[in-house]
Amino acid sequence: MDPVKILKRAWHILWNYRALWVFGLILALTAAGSSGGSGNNGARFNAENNNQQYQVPLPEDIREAFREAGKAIEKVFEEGLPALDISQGELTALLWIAAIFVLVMVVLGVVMAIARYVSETAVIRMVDEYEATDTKLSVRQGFRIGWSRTSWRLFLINLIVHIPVILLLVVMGVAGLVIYRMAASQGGNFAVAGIVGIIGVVFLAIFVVVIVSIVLGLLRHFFWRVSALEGVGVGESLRRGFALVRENWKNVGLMWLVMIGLGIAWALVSIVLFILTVPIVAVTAILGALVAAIPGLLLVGLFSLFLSGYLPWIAAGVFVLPLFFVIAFLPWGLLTAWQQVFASSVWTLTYREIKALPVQLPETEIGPVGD
Amino acid sequence: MSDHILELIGAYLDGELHGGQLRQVETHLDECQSCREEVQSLQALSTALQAAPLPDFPTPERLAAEVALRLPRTPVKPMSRRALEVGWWLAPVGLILVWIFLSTTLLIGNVVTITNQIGLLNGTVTQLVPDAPIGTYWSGTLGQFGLLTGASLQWAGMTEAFTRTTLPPIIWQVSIALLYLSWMAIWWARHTLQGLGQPFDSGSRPTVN
Repeated sequence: MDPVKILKRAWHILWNYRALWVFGLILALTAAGSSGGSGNNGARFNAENNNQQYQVPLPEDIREAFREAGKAIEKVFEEGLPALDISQGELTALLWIAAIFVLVMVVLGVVMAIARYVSETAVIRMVDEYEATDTKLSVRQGFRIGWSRTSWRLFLINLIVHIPVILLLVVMGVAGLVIYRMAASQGGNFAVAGIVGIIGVVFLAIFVVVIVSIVLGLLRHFFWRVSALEGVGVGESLRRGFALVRENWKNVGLMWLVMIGLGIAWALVSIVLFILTVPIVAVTAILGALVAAIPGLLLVGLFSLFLSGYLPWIAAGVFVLPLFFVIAFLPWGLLTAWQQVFASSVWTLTYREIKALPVQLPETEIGPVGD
Repeated sequence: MSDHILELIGAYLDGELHGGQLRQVETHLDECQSCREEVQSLQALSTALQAAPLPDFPTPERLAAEVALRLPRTPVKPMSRRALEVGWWLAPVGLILVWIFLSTTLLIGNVVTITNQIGLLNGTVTQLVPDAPIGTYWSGTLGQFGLLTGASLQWAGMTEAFTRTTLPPIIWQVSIALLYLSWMAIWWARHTLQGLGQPFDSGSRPTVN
């Protein structure tokens, strides 16, 4: 397998198969965040005023605090918020609007998840089809081949791959609770030793789970492609994908190392590109503001029936803000879309190359003739 | 009779014809000199082949071994060369592990510092986490000597605090990234120039016997 040839081919597909960009854009909007880095920029927290000794609240204090908070909420519902000039009726309306907003966001989240997995399936199958028959599918055809049971399987595979992360969160939550209890109830060296021990366990858990997640993330490329291109179920995809990677671990490992290097290079290049495209983003931001203003004004009119003053504007702004962001940051979304399509194409081509490779027999080393 | 039965002669000689087809062939052979000669010719060939000694076909295992002997050989590499190769491929993996280790350390350190500073740990880890803000020693000293005052002292303090806190993680992350990119650039160059680049094959060109 020649990784450079695969990269060149993926580059060619990226620029010559524009229908993929649409799916890449959907992936950029729905999946890019979940496949990114940790987001830790390395900045350390530095409090200015930390000479004060804080007292850990005891459980009875917490109960008292909850009681007081409950009373305060009751009072707010009875009297409204006089300080902000919000009446009781407006407060109720605001809460309903907030509930509707949450509902809309949940529905949007489900729609985005569906769009993501349909697009993942479509990109994998479109690239495979292009390689096999040199046929370019249209966006409509892409949606048709993406809209299948396979996209559901891709979701399930992704869920299984993320199980270690979920377990880590549980471990960390339990560890955090234990640390808090130890610090609150016991003092002295015992608590310190316990906390140090738990920090060590959490460190180890994070370290191991990050490595496991990286390996599973790599395997996921093949699980997905087995499922999408061979049309098999989740269990069979996991089994075949794992077997495929195990048999070709050198080729897969090399491709993975190369892709990590390209990811680093892309991170550096994208900083420059993001800065260079700021003027374009400024233009799309104006466009986004104009487009979002139409539904925004309609919502302001609707909310004015229940709210007064500046409240309808704020509520409508919260609703149309996602639309504004999508349009405003479209140029940056397109950059991420290209990255998504390129990466997906590389892994699809790698999968095809590996499948085409003959089964390797155990290599025997032969000494030079005449020795 | 013009309809010869040449296409059926093979099956006839192998005893695969039955019923009407067999009778048709036999009747035709009684009448047709040409087909009879063809049958005799094929029978003679079959007899000759059966009489000939069988060629000495090797067993599948032997054939595989002989083919393996003719395949390009991988020369035995010295131990030092092998170690170098393994090291070359482990270098990027090591960089990734170092990056994960340092990031995890930083994350844990930040979480412990924040939880301690907001008082959730009841001050039990003050021995481990510095309670005081990051010092601005150099700018402070310059200020004491009156070399920096007012806004310039404030700027110097902020710069020093930034250098001490934010800069180190950025530096080590950029360093790891640059080392990784260097490894990749070398790999790419080797691949392009020499056609190498597969894991554990560096420097060993196959030789055909």
